[in-house]
Amino acid sequence: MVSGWVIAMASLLLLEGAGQRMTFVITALLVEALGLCLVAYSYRSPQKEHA
Amino acid sequence: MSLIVCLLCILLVPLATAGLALIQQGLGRSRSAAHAMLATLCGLSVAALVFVLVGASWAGFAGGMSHGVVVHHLRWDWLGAEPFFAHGIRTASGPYVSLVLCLQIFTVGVAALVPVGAGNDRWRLVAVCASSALLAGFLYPLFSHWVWGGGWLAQLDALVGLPAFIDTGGAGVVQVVGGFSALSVAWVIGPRQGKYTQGMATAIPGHNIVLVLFGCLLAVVGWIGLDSAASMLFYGAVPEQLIMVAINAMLSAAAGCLAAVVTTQLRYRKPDASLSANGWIAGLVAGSAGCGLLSPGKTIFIGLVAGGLVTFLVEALELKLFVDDPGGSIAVHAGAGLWGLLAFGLFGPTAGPRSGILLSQLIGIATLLGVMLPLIHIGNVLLNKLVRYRVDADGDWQGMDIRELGAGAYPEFVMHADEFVPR
Repeated sequence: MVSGWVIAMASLLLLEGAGQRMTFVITALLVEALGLCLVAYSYRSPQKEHA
Repeated sequence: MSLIVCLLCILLVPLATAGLALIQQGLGRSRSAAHAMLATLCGLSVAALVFVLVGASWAGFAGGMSHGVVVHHLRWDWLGAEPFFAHGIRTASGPYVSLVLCLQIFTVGVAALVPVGAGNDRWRLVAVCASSALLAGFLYPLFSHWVWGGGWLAQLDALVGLPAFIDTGGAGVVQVVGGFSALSVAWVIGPRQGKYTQGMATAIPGHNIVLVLFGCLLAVVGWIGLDSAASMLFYGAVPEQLIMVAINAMLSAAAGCLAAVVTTQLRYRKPDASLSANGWIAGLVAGSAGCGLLSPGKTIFIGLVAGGLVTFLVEALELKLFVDDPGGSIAVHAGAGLWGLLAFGLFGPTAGPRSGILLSQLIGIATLLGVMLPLIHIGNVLLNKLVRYRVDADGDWQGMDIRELGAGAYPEFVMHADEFVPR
C-alpha cells in the first residue's frame, strides 16, 4: 500500500502530462487496492479459525 | 467570516457525536450498552485532552508554523509546528486560531468515536482510551494538517500544478481516518464469540433500533454544524453559503437512507432498519466532501450511491472478509467517505480541466490508503502489545457491562440466550 502511494507521488514529481499522471495514479490506486486485499486476506483466515 | 455564526455551527457538532454514540450502542448487544456509551465518553474525553496538549500543535492552521521538506526547490509542508499545549491561541491575533482549535476538539472526537462501533461488545475501555490518544495525538493531526492546516495536499497547485485536494466537511480528515481506525481495530481484536461458526456468519442483531434511528436524526443536525463550520474556517464560505450546506446535508442523508431502504427491500424483501440507518449516515458522510459546493441534484446522486454501496460493503465485510463490525462503522465512514471524495473529483466545480480536480482527489485518496491506513494499523498493532485490546473469553460472553463496569445498562431486563439466530 505504501508502494502505491510512492508511485502516485513519483508520477506527480516526474511526469508533466495530465494523461500520464492519471495513468500512473490509477495504477498506484490499483497497487494499493491489491495491498489492501492482501492484508484483509491475511486477517481473514485467523479470524475464521479463531471463531 | 462571522464569528458568531461560526461558533454556533461548531456548537452543533456534539450532536453528531451524540447521534453516532446512540447508533453504535443501539447496534451492539444489550449486555454491553452502558460500556459502549462510557467508551464513547472516555474516547471523546481522551481525544479532546490529547489533541489540545499535543495534536493541535501538529495539526496547525493555514499560515501557521510548520515543518517542511524541500524537493526540487519546493517546500512540501508535512507537519504543523505550533507550540504544544495550545499556547499558540494566546499569541494569535483574532479569533481564527481559537475557532480552528474549538472545531477540531469536536471533530477529533467524532473520528475517535467511529472505531467504538467496530469494537462493540469486546473492546476494553482502557484500550479505547489508548487508541483514542493515538488517533488524537498524531494520526488525525497529520492528515488534518495536510488538508485543513495548509499542508502539501492543500498546496498541490503551487507544488505540482494541480488544484488543491478538497474536503470541505471532513469526509477524509474525519470520517475516512476514523473508518480506517475502525477497520484496524476490527482486525486487531477479531470477531465476537459466536459470530462465526464453521465458517458461517451468525446474525447478532442490535438491541435497540429505536435509539439507532433517533441517533440518525440527531446526527444530521450535528453534521450540518460540522460541514458549515469547516466550510467557513478552511474554505472561506460566507454565512449565505451555509444555506446550501444545510440543504445538501439533508438531501444526501435522505438519498442515502432511501437507497438503503430500496436496496434492502429488493434484496431481502423487507427494508432493514439498521442498514437504512447506516445508509442515512453514509449519505451524510459522502455528502460532506463537497458540502455546499455541489448542486442539489449531484448531492442526491452521491447520497443514493453511498446508501446503496454501504449495504453491499457491510455484507462483503461480514460474510466475505470475516470482519465483525457491529456498528457498520467501516463501510459507513471509510467506504462512503472515499466515495464522497472521489465524487467531488467527478462532479465538483472546477475552473480548469476536469482531469485536474479528479487527479487531486485521487492523490488524496491514495494518501489515505497508502499512508494513513498503514500508519493507523501499525499504531494499533503496537498499542495492542502494550495494552491488550480484547476482553478475555469470559468477558466476551458475560458482556462488557458486567465485566468492566460491574453493572448492566438495563438491570431490570431479563437476559435471554436465544439472541443468536442462524442465517
